[in-house]
Amino acid sequence: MQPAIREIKMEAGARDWLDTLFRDHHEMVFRTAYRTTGSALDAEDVLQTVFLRLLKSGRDTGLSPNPAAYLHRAAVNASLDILRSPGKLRALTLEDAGAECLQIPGLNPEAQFSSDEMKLIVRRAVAELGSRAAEVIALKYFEGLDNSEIAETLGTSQMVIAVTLHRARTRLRKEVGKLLEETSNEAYR
Amino acid sequence: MKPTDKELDSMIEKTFGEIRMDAPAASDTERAAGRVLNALSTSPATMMSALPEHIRGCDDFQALIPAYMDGTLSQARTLLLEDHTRECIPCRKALKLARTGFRTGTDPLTASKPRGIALATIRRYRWAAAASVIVGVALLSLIFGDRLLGTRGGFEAVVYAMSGSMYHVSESQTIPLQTGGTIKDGQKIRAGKDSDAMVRLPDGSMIELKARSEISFSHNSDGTTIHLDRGNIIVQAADQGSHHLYVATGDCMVSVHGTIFSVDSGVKGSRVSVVQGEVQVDYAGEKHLLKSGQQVSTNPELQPVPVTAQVSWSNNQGQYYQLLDNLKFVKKEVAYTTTDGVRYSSDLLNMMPANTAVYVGLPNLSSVLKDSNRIIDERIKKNPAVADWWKGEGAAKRSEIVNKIAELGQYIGNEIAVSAAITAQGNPGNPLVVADLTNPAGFRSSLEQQVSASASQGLTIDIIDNPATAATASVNTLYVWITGYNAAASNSLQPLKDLQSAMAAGSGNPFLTTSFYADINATYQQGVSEIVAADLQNILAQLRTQDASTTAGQARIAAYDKLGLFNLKHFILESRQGGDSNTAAVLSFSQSDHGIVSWLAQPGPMGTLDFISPDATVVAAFSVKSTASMVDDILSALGSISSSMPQDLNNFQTETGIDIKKDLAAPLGGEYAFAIDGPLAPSPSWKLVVEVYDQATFQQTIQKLVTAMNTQAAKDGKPASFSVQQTEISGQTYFTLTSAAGDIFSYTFANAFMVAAPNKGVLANALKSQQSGYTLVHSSQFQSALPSDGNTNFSAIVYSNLGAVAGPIASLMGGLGHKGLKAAVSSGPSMAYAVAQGDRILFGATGQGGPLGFNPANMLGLSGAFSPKGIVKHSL
Repeated sequence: MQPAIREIKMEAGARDWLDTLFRDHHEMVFRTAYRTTGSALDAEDVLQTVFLRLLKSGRDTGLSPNPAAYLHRAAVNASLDILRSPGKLRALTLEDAGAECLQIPGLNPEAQFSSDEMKLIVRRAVAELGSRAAEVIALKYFEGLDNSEIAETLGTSQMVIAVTLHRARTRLRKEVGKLLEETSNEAYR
Repeated sequence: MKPTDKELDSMIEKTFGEIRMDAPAASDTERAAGRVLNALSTSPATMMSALPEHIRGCDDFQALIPAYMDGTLSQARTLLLEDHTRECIPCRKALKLARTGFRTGTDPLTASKPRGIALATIRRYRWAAAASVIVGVALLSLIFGDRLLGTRGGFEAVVYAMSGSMYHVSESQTIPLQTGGTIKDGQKIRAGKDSDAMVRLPDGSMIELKARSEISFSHNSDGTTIHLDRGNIIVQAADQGSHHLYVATGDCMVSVHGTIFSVDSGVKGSRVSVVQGEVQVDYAGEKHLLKSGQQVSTNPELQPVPVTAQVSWSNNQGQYYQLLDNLKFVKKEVAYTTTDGVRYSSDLLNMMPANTAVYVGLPNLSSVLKDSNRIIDERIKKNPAVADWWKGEGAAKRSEIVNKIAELGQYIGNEIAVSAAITAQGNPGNPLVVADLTNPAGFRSSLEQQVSASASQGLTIDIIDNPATAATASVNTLYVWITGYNAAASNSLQPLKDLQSAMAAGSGNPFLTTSFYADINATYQQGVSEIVAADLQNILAQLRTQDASTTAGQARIAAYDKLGLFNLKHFILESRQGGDSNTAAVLSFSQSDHGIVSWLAQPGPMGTLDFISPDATVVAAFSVKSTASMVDDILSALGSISSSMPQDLNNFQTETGIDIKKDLAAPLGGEYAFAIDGPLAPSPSWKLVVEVYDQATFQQTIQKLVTAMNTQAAKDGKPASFSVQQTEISGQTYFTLTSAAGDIFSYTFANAFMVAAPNKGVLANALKSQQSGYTLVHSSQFQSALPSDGNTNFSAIVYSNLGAVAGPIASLMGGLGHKGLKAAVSSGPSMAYAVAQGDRILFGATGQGGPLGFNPANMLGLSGAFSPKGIVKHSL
């Protein structure tokens, strides 16, 4: 016997919402990813990852009430994920940084590292923080959000953010110091 | 030595600042976005959109399996699929296969973890997957060719931005499209009236559509083809790599790599203009390589226009202009074929007195001069308002003077100008004839010889050297003033004095600052043979004053104002080739936001003509910007003429339940066509084609009308037998309005158009024409009637080819054949057309006036427009 065949109308414009989101926000996502990762190639990966995840998870996940804030946060997190990946960590050990500054040790550290190298070190140090701390630091210092905006994006209070930031700064300082030392030593070898 | 905490903090702070300043290049962003959008649309997760719309059988169920495995299938469908696979063995097998072997980690995207993606791994997989796909596809394409690849899904263009409206159109339905909406391979889209839109291809290329343009895409291994059915697009092609981007019109194929160019496809052919880069255009078996600033058209009758004009409608026009500005040679590219007597500027025009209201420029060709008075008379007659104004003694004098000057044609330059000023009372001043002299001495001696001959005919010729000091003669005198290389003649001294002061002012001549001058000068720049221009604004103002003295006159004035008729500014009639066969008139308006000038849409594609066969006898087609605002203007004009009108209208709307604006005007698009197309007996085969955007509302309105007709019939004591019958013939739904007396008419919908005809047979023919491309527009008789100018499209046309039908009738009637009918048979097809250009409308006609006697003035019933006294009676 032929099985019963029913007809269901497909939800019209199943993907329209994604295209609209992409059009409205791809620039912001890409810019954020570029700032966080420091590379256009990585930023493209982030852009793709963010929207692919969205596509898979469907429109209702987390987007409302503020899609821009959600995507902003998603972009930061996907970028941090890339910075944390093993391949990236190796890349960050200054193979692509200009070597000439590193050959003059013992002076004021500011003179020893070019600003590009410092950016690499700070990005990596941020990625090494706990995921929550890294996210807050990136939103605050890379993206320039203020505490109240971060609190809203993460769905918590400004107090929590202030405390997280304070602790994260202390840890970041240590991490940057450590990386500076490591890289200088590496350059010696 | 280690940095202190404070030093570290300040370094970190400084670096934060620098990171905040990091920003990607805009081009990087756009390129990345293009690639990602492409990847997204081909991602397995997106295949959801490729799922069958309706589940009709096992194939459809099996198509759901990948989405089911991904977990992206909707709950309802998951239940259906699970339910079905319990009962159906083949589908259960398919599902089992999918679970076990179908997808073994070949999908790096779904396999990736949400946190800490190993990017290098993904990249490697991606390459591996890509490599194997490429090898596989290459093998397959060797075997199956493009057909297989052409049907591959995944291509999706996106509506990136739009203003106004946009539609998916198909044979059966019209669906509005929103920003962000997608267009798949093979789907047809059309920009609405008064709209424009930006569509983005997966490769990042952008296509800007002008209002009422229609395109579709096809995609295969070689690249993407944009099919431009009609209209105007500007393509900003992204770098195509090894692929190609094509634009195909009915008569040419454009292939590009990374360029900006415009394609304009209309009834007269196609025109490709390049803004930046290089494109190759193939047409009529030839290849043409075009560089930026260059242009090619597929029809020699389609004359070149500046490339800037082809992109002037764009939202990015500034950018394009700048690109084109860098090319100094652009303007020189636009060269018109020079015909005898055609002039591109006039020094006579520059010396006209400031109060000039009518200006006529004629070439100094013996063929024209001989006939100059007849030519002037005919031209003037084409605008009844001007003819009304410039008649009587002034006109008679004009003939006399022109004749006199024409006799001396061998001594004068390439042009003669005839003008009349408007007096302070609004009446025509005495005529003034001015000419350049090639041989002043010869002119003078020849004229002197005529003095005595003329005197015997009762005309005194007075050759004067200075109008300011010349004495007025008491008798009928023709004053001729010879100054340097110019001669001027008039029957009164005043025009000569005005001319003298205008000439003395040189470039300070106040006439040069008037918009009337600017319009005439602009017409000259396009090349004219004969030109007649009238300053309607001033002439009409005088007529208006006359009319205002009576109550009826005041009502008329109010109506003209509503229709925008008193906004008429200038009337310029020109013929480029000379003679009667190709003339055009420009009417310009002082206000373009309401009235007639605001109704007609800018020249654009006329999809309605696709339903008309080459055998059509009479065709009238036009496009309007907005049916609703036209209806508004007409209703309010009616209201000011008849005080009972608004009440009658209200009664109609209440009785029928039809809101004319909302139910009738709003669902309609902007294109209309009416044709007599097919046998005239037993009843004429008429066709009415109307663009309909909102089929549902339109159908409801028809239903309401039928109900109202039945109610009325019942009131009149007749049987209420009106109804709409629905018939389906080979997939096409036809609606027929019937009554007890039989069928009244039938209509159907196709491609966002409603086609109506007396019966289904004529309708089926109309659809056949449209589908087969056997249409009027592509026929040789229609093409031969098109004017030779720079317009690809028109705002309105009236075409007639009575020869097609009058021939058989005339032969039936044998010797009794009517004279007029015979004339109709012998004359070829003719056409009258209108092109709306912002605040002006260009009217033109081809053919010898045409069997229906079309001329620019009576085109579209606008003859009344020029004769204010007749319009109300005439058009209402």
